[in-house]
Amino acid sequence: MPSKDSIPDRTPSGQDAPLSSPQAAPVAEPTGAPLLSTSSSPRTHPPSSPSSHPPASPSEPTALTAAPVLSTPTTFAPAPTPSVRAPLSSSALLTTYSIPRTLATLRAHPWRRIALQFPDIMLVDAPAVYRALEDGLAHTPGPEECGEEAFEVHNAGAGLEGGMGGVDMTGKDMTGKDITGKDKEDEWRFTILGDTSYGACCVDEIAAEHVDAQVVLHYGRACLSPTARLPVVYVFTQQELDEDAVVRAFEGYYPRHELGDKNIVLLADAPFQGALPRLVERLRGLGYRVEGTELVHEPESALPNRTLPAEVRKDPESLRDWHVFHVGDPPAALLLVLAARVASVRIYSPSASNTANGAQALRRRYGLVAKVASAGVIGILVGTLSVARYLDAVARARKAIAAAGKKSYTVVVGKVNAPKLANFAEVEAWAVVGCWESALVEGEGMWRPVVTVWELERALEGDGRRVWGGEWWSGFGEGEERQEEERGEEEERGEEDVKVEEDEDAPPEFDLRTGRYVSHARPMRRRLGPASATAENGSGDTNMGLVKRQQAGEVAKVGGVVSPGARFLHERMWQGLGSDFDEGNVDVQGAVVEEGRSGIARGYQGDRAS
Amino acid sequence: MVNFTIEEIRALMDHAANVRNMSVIAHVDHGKSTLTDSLVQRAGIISAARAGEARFTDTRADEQERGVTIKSTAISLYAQLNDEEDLKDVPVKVDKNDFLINLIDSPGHVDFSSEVTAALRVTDGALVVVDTVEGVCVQTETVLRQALGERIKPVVIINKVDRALLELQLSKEDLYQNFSRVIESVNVVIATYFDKTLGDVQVYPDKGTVAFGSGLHGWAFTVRQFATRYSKKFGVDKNKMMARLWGDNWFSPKTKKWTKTAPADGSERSFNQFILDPIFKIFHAVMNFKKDEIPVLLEKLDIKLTSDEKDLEGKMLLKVVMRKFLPAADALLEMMILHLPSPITAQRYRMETLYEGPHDDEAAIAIRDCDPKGPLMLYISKMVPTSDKGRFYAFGRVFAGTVRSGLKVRIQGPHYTPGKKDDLFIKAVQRTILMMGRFIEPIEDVPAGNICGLVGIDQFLLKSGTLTTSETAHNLKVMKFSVSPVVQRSVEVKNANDLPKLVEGLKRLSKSDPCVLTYINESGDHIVAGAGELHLEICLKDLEEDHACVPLKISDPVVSYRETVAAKSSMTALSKSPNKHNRLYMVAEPLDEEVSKAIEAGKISHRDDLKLRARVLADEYGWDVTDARKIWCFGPDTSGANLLVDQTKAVQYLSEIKDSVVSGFQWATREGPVAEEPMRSVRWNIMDVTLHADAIHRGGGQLIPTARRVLYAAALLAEPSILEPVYLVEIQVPEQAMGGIYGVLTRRRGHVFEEAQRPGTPLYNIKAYLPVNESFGFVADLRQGTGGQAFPQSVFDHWQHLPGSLADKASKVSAIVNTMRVRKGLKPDVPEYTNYYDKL
Repeated sequence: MPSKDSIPDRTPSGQDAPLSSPQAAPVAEPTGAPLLSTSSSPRTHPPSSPSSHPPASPSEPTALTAAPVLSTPTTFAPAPTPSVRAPLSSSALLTTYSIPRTLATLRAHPWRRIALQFPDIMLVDAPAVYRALEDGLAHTPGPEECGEEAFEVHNAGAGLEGGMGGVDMTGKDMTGKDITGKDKEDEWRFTILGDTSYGACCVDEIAAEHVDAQVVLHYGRACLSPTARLPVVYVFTQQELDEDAVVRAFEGYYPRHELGDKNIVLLADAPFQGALPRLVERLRGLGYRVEGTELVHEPESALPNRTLPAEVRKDPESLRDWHVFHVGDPPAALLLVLAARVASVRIYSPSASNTANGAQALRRRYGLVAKVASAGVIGILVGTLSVARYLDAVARARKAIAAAGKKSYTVVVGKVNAPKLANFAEVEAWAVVGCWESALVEGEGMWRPVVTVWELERALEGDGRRVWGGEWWSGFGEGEERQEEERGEEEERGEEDVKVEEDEDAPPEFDLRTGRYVSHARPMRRRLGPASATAENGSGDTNMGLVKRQQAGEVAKVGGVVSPGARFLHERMWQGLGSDFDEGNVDVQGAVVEEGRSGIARGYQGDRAS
Repeated sequence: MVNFTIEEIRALMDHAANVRNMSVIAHVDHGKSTLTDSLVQRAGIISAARAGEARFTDTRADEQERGVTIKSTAISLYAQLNDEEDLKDVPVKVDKNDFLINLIDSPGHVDFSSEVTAALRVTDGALVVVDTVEGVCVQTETVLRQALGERIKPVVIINKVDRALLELQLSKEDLYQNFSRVIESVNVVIATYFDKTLGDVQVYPDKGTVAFGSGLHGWAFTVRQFATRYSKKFGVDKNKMMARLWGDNWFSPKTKKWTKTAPADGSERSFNQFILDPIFKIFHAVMNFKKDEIPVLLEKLDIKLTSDEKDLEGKMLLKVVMRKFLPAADALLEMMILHLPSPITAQRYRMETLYEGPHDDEAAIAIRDCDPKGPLMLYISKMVPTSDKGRFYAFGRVFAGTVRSGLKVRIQGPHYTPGKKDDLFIKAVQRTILMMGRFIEPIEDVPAGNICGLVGIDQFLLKSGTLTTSETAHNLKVMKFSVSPVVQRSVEVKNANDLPKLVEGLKRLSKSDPCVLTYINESGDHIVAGAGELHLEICLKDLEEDHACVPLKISDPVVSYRETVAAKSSMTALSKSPNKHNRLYMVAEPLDEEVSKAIEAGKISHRDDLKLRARVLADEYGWDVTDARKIWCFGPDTSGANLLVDQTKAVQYLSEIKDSVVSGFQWATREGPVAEEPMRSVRWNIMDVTLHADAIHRGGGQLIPTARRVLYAAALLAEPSILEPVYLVEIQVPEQAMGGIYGVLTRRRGHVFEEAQRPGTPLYNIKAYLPVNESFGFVADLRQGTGGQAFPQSVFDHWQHLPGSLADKASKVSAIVNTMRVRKGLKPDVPEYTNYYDKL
């Protein structure tokens, strides 16, 4: 794929394109193959040869035209991927992806190795954007670009204001890379990053570092979480907005005669941000008390990533009385945040009717929190490797879980889906450490509840102090909460000392979700009791040559520590080969032992032969 | 003046033959608490003057206000037989004339019948109270059935005889006929639930197991008492006399002969002549103010009045006279002591219905012999709130061993299985106490056969459980209630900061009532579920005022539904795992209603021995034995009325994925595909399974979601349907108001299936089925429709399919499902089966 010509044009059905669709994403790769098609300028890099790939299946002529053979029969046809929308026309492309302005930005900076990150729905346009950027940089700037350039350079520091693109320079100093280095004279080198490891809203710094990029151009909506390593240019893209329809919807939601002294704040999805000032004007003209908002880099703001109306800045409490009108479909996390903080949320959805109900969604989250409160084993899902301070958050969650007498496991699975999580059957609840948008994993088919770290903290607080409804946040908990948490730990420890006497059991927990008592909500707090004594006696008898089988009813332990995992295995019906052997049924003739396959699952010896 | 001490009671506890544990059960307003007063008064706890009005066992303020018992209340009484001679008639050998009666007064309203169940569990005998005028009502039948199911021996008192005399002005013969009709209907119920081990427990006045009386006036008699009087007077054998004083026996004063048919001389039936006549005479004389006749009568009957009492008139005088003539406590105590079993007798036959484990282990034998020296076996049947907020007394019965303060016991919750650590706690009993109505008395220890309260173990048991000292003991059987929490309301705090208090309150509420269910549902609402509107009202009032103590917002009542299927899947459902390497094929079909009911009643359970269960299913429910042996699991909660049956042949690695499929099954049955409601009465058959040869590709992640998908697909292919709970409503109403009832019922989708006139009265008994969903406000509506003359009693009876089909968007069921889905924040339309079905 040396030349730009080799970049496949993605057709709507696009079956043979090597770009993998989200449906065919690798199942269990934490930071798995984020590079879809790496391309470089012809002069600097020789074409990479097929032989650079490991010889997966020698029978295949080229390594990349087919997936390596697993045990799926060769005739197996994967289900057709659902068709994606058609790529945009070239003129639409220029405006939607703000090409001229991007070019201006790029010329203004010394970067040469640039990573382009698209969300899945925009991947279809990725080759075209790639080409447009490369073509644009190859030519001298055109007149329209010149106009943009002035604008762009002028606004480079706070480029968000135009709503089209901006530069996040915060990470620049931390990279330690010499971005004005040797590549300065070289041609620009673009790389399309597909299949982000975590959420499409976050900048995939790890993937970008794989291609040694100096800057990431992030397309589509973004959570704007602070990044640690690379400078980022956010291109929010632009979309057409039927302003009349918005005004009609607005008037439908807020009939003038019922208006009273309602304060309404207007929020827009980033692609529609450009239209917002005009909308505010029009609505004010109609006699509404509306306030517009502007994009800021501040996920922790009361209105995430948006400016606050002046009145609210003066009196943060007054946000409760404001009504929010949101143009465009808000992501679930934003909806929940707004639902918890403002009086009401109304949505204008350009595509279809949006029935999302924030208050109801918030209550459903509460149901999940109640479930987590009675879980004994909690998995911490690391859902980001780039959001600043995520390691602190993981450590804090671990500590909080341990303090609550529960067991934690830390797991990285990349993009979260139901099968990956269900593989850890012993984990009773999951908490995601991720950016504030992607940490909210909602979706049908999750076997165990998946909550955010903030929700986990609420769950661990204990029923005696949990308050719900006043606030909701999907990012990491911050300083205040930590103090509160520690205070809570002390209290709980105090309680425990009083209640649990020697060789008596701690009382069970009331499981709010089922309305019953459960004894496994705090497995690590469980005393070992007399059962441990018998187990020790058992181990003293090892000279008999046989390991004494763990007695039923004993607390499962590994190395003297209570192990909920071992206990889970103990309670399974099937515990490994031979465990289902029924002694009362020995007359059944066993099968003759035959030689099995050898090799690794990726391609067995037998498969190769065939 | 209390005329007995704790020491006396404690001493009596050691003589199990002299102990009687009994509960008072009846239909609402038939006079249980009032009758109990007569006994409490005899024990000297309340004054005679207040007996019948104090209702000592109604300890709560709202019970007193509403005049309805809500909680069952226990009280221990000390009693003696008046006549030492009677000791000979006690069926077990007793060596002294001192008896300890542990009595539990239970509520009569159906909504609280879980309290009755809890009371019955810890007692051996039951005093069934029946109103002369109203006769056997729906709740009488229910509690009798429950009692017999627990092998509780009943005796009957026909109450409110004063009403029959004063209000209805019945003649003697009419009254006799009335009595015999009531007794007959009681016996019909008893015969229906005949239990071979318990033997014939039908009641007969001529055997002394039926009493007649008036709780309000404080008098009652048995035929035996009169037989004793007359046997002395006539010098005949008492037992012979008893047989002659009931039934078709006539005595002709002229010929001095007993006959079996009415003699020509018009003399009255012996019962009327010898028993009713003196009573009628007193009533006649007193109520007609025949001042001159009264002293004569009193002298004849050997009744002595104080000078104050002589000045009384009318009903007051009648009360005093009757109470002196036939004190209720005498008749009741005599009946209890002579005819109700002692723990020694009762536990011998109750052991097998009480104990879950093998009937020959040490615990079983100790229970059977009521052995105070054996291992402790104690059943906690309910929790009683203490004055200390949030703490409870655990109330229960010692079936074996002796419980004392400081004893370290194993607390086994309802989900404990021997050998597992789940639901098992070790804790010392802090104190043992004696429950005395609204008071408690500390007591050092309590031996087998007695009822007591325990302090310090309430945190370990939610509602009920088993306490033991034996490491091998199984649980005592978990109680099955006749009511289910089918009505629910969600509660919210008005102020978000009060949430912790609400949660704490919900926990306490859940403890304080044997039936109520409190939980947070999928949509994050706090739900309180109860048996009926009244039950919920009381529970929510308790929650707001006593348990949470914060202002609450309470939603309108809603019904809890169940999802089910109406037919067999139209084709085999197939789902593939996410990696497409594993396939599950399943078919859903309705489970027979009998099997579902048997599972819900605990007759068939996941704990049963596999082969025995298969035998029962094959013999009684027509199952294929191979199928019955291959039941993988019950669900939801591993015990519900849905089954997963393995019908595959020779599938490799099948046992390896069983855990995953079972997990998926529990998940799917807990939240069904139609509206996330629990499923009921569905049987899934696993038809075939294809699995990947590598263990890594058939792990839980691949199979748990797939199992759920295929279960959903199979259910959606099998005409999914919604079950709604239905009440059995019994209404008593005068003839002229019947039209109103029919109107109200028809408007509410109810239908009458039985209508019977109560013989000798203008009252009709109507039995109808009424969907619970339509029952909200039914009582008020009915009162309006009948001018306040009809009183309904509703008790959950069964589940029925909602009319219409889910395919039809205009049907009732679709409408209900849509509202439910919207309330839960789901898409309004039920998903298609194709969402869960994969093409091959």
